[in-house]
Amino acid sequence: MTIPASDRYVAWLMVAGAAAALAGVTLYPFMMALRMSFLDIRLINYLRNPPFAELANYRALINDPFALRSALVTLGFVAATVSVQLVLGSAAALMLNHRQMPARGLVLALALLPMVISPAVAGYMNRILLDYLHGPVPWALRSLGLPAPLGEPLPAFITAVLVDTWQWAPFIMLLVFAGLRSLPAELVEAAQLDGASFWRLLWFIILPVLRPVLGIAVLLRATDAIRTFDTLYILTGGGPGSSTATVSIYLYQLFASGRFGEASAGAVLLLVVLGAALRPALRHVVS
Amino acid sequence: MSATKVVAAKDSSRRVTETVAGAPARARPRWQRALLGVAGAGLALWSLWPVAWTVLISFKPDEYIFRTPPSVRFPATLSHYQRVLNTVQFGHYLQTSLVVAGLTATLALVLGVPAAYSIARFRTGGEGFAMWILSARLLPPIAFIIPFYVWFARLGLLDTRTALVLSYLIPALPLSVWVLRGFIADLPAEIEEAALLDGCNRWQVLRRIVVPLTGPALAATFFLTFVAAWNEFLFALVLSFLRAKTWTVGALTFVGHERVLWGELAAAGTLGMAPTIGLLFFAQRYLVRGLSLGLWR
Amino acid sequence: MLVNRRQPARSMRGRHWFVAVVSITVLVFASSTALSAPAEVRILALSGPEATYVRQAAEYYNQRVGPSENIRIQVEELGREGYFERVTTSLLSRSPAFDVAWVLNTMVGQFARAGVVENLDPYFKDPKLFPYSFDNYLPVAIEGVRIDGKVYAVPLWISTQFLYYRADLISDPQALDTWEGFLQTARRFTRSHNPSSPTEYGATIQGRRFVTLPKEFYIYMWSFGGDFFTNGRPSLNSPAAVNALTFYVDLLRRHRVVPPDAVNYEYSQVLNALLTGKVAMAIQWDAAYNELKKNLGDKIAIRATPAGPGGRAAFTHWYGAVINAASRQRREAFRVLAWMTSDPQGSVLLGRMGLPVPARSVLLNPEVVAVNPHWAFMYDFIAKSGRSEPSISAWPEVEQTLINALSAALAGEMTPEDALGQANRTLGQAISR
Repeated sequence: MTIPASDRYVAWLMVAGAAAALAGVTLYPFMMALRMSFLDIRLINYLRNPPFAELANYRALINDPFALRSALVTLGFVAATVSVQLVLGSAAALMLNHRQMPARGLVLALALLPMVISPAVAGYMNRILLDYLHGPVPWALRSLGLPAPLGEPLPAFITAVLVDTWQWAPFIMLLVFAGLRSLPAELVEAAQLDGASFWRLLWFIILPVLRPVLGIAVLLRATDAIRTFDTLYILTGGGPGSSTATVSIYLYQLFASGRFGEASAGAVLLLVVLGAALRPALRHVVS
Repeated sequence: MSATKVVAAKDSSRRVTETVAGAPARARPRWQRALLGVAGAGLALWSLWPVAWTVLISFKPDEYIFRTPPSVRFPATLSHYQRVLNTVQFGHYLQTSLVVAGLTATLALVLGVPAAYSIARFRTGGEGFAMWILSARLLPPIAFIIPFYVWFARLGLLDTRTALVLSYLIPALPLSVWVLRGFIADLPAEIEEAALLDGCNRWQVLRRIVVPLTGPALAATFFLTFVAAWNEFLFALVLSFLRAKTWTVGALTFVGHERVLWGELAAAGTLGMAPTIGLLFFAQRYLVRGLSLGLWR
Repeated sequence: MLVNRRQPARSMRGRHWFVAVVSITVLVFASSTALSAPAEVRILALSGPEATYVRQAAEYYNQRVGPSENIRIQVEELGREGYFERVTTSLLSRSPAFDVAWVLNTMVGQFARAGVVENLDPYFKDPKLFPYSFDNYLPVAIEGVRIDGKVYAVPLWISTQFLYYRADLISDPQALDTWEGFLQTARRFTRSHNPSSPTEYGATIQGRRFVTLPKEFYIYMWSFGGDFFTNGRPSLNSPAAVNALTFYVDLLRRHRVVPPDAVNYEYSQVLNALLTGKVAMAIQWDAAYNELKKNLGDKIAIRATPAGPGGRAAFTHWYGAVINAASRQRREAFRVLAWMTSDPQGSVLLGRMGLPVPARSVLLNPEVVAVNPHWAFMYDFIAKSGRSEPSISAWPEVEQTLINALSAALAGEMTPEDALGQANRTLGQAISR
């Protein structure tokens, strides 16, 4: 569609509001964070003139073993949650989409419920449910010989992944379901007239066609996993040890203990790494 | 082709998918339906049970909350709710959340609709621009905590609702543009072209033709951005402490009393969950339609 | 047309006068009520016993004392989780939205140096604001809030931790004098070791990745002979300290005498575990005493924490009230704090409620002491074995590293040597700045 000159002006005007707002709340703070990452800025001096610190903040971060741990935990958390949620969410979507599915609307609504619960409340709820001495879940698990969900690093990590899955697999389910709903009938009909079984249908027709949706879902969930703070902070505070201390928790604690300079350096590093990793993915989605 | 016929055509294609998804509509064994029913019930229960448990606890007297094995029969009490609403001004926190979330969602739509239309129809700014807008949704909020804190402190905006709304726009605006762009791109452009030929300018086309057609996407976007803002915790924790305290942070007050006041915590959680659950049941039918994300450009 | 213009003019003038008179009346009335409206002093406090004390005091004050001083107290509770971080950000934001904040002594230093809290010396010296004797405050409490020779907080509460135990179950409490005895008793009361134990676990620790973790650890560290500094140099990873941490970690990982998710416990969960009878002993804050006594009566008793090669240690820190430098009601805020801590009526009221204000008017008052029988023991314990954290302005940074390190050791992610080594390095860096 060729764009007449008058329309070009309108086109830019239409994006102006959103672009300005977004630039204001992302670009400017990023510049600030960049500047602060080179200053020895702390609680005590942040409203005065903090001294220049060159690369000291970055060096401190690299030398901090807890920083490395939280980076690794974050990668593990992202990998675990995305893969589990992708599989479960898609399976749930396929199930909901099935012709014979009874009470589809009701099940859909109930299945989406965890999505609208505040992650903070999910953290509180699970803390009650998983308390070893008083909660119902450990009481049930004990009879199966399973350890305390929040007692050791690995169980705590797994529990965190499960809690996150409970909350966000429905989101993937929603996206995939919406995608399935808009599949053109002719495609599936043609395949079935050719005698395709369910699995072949799935693998060769539906999945390839849904790839964009799955791509967006993975992208959103992966970045959301990095952003996870509320649930983990309330559930375990990042512990035991560093087993649930993702990058968000680590940076928050830097901020809370007054190390503004290091926290800014961490923020800059995080954004740069994330930006680099996301470029190919975003290009794929946009085009 | 009139607008209504377009919508009707879309609907009928979906209905065809319904009958076809799975296998030809011949004899279907009843056990398959039963199996699906069980699986569906399982899914519903899995999603529901922590919420149900929390609501249950909010009505349990303290002595019953800590008993193992946990009991389902008990004398119900409203004392937790009374305490939550009376001693801690929880109602005030809920109100703050309502204002902030409502403003955020509204702004996201007001700014997002024109931007989404522009990008969908004109590819304004090209790939780079679209990528930049979408990338904002993916940024970790923690990275912005410090600059926001220092910036708002200098502007005297700490502990204000304005600060929260500005912070929440970071994920809300890109999501809004993203969802709306996909939906608008799916709409056939012939109606708009017809209107343009009739003498309307782009703004009128946007307002009178496109917006009414994007109903489901508008609802889906409002729902998602409202819920995200309503449930937000981190920025509220850092940027507010008195006047602009939201309910998610206010619920924190109950972790820390003599016993962990789980009854009150559950009551606060239930009060906070209720609006979004209500919204969900209302908005649910729009979500599926609104989130096709432009699959079939 | 001329007629039309004249008629509205007359009625307009009348209307103008009416509006003017009404406006002036309203303004005068409003300003006079504004002038006589009480100053509202807003106090931030931790959710829990702390806020409860302030609330109760505020109720009394607003009814009986406030009207004559034209002051009203309003209390704002902030949840325990993240409280100290949020008070810090609140003060640093220079927001006038609150006037007083309840803070720990270790934090006052950095607030004073950042200039966000009021220097209270001039207030104490003003007889109109402080018509009491400054000697009323215990010297040890005042020293804790004196930075560079100036007092920056009003001391509210000297707090310590002791060993709470089930007196009805543990028949030989003398065994709890040493850590070995403590461990043996804990074993006896852990069901996995002793199936006939009435409690599920012998003891518990405050293992959550939170400020209470290091504060509990220091008790072990000091009693094993370790300290923050030895001969002026950081010594957090001395052999004694490493032994202490090894013992602490072993309680959870080797001997299993504490609940497995004690790595998620702080004050509230430990209190809960004692209240519901799931554990037989715990090192816990004095703040829990009243609640425990109320619910368990004679079944619960207190004693000094066990002694090790380094003797006994009573971890001591104190809460104080700072006045926000950005507050618009600093004098009124000070009046309130002076009333709460030094006024014969006010301070005694708080003392009778259970708040151990470190002032003679409270601690030496026989009727107050009678209501709080554990104070005698508490102050004796502090006097004999009290120890506290070093007062350096960068303390929160060191503390955060300690929290991470100790948590890693408890989780088995780091050995006690490595964990304390990391903390020691941070301590060294903090003092060299």
